[in-house]
Amino acid sequence: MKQGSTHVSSARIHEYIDNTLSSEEKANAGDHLRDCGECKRAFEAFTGIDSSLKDLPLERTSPGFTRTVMERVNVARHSPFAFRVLENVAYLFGFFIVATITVTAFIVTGVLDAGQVSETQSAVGEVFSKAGSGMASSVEGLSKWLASFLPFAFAKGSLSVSLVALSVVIILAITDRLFLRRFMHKVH
Amino acid sequence: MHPLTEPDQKIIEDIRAGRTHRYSILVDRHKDRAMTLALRLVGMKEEAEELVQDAFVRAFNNLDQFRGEAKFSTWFYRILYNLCMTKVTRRKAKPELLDVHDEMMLDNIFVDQDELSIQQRMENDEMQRLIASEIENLPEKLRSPVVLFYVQEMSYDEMASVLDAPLGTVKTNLFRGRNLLRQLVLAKMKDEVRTV
Repeated sequence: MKQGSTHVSSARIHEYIDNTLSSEEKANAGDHLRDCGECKRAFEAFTGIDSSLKDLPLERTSPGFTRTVMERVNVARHSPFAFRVLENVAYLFGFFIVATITVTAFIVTGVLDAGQVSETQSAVGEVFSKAGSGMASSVEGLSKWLASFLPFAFAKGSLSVSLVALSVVIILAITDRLFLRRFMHKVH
Repeated sequence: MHPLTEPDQKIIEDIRAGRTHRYSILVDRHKDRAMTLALRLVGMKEEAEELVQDAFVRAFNNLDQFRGEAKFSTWFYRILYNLCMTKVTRRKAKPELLDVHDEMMLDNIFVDQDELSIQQRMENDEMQRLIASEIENLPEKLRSPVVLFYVQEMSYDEMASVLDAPLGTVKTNLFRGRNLLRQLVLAKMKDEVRTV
């Protein structure tokens, strides 16, 4: 027990229990533990706690734990970035379907006047039309701007444009596959 | 080969080849030991289970970074250990229970005849109950090596890798952790013997 030459140190007794000593060290320590009452007592006390520690029962996870992990893993692994975007848009799409059914039901039952609806429709249409023409002019502006930088892509008509568009799609797809999905996993 | 005897490395190769469903074998294989480690480190069952889940998901998503130089379990427990430590550090609600008295007990290795006879009289179940409760009272830096060594049955080298600490530090902390635990358990045993 003491650190002196006559006793085995406490650290050495632990190493003896852990079986991490060389065969010579182990034999020397073993000889001493057999002959020395004080060290033997320490060895037995340490071994008692040790074996109880080693036999401590394992904690169990809840039933369905593995399934939950696999569900989380599958969600993280198999959903491409584009699918996640669509997943979110699906709520908006669902809302439009429900709204359409509700308005149709109101018109059929006479709660809503069809004339009022058509007025609203034309008003909404006008808004969309303005937004559409705004977007079209933006695209046109963008095209002109691109054409100034990439004249080769626009010089030979629609074929070049299609090729540029296709290249962009391919680059986006590769980026999605290599970076975005991995990034989304980490975020997830 | 039977799934129970299949090496972790083989399953990981299958997962990398696209058979991702095989990850459930690794989860089943390691979940209880992982749960035991997390619970001993963070102290609350719900929190521990959530951390184990997070660790498995994180391990899966970073499986391409696992090079197979160490065992999967060592690599995985390092992820789990770091998550647990982040949680414990953030919480900071539970103070470290290493007071002056404990500090004095760390290196006191004296074993008297009483200790041995009380230990020998105590039922194994009772002893385990005391040990399980007293592990939670060890300060974190001593608790981690004790839990990794006994619950995860890790070697000194594996513990050094999980704890990201030098081998000598790990050995010293394990020694001190065992010693303090022995004395905390002994104090409880003496209390219980007195009350009986």
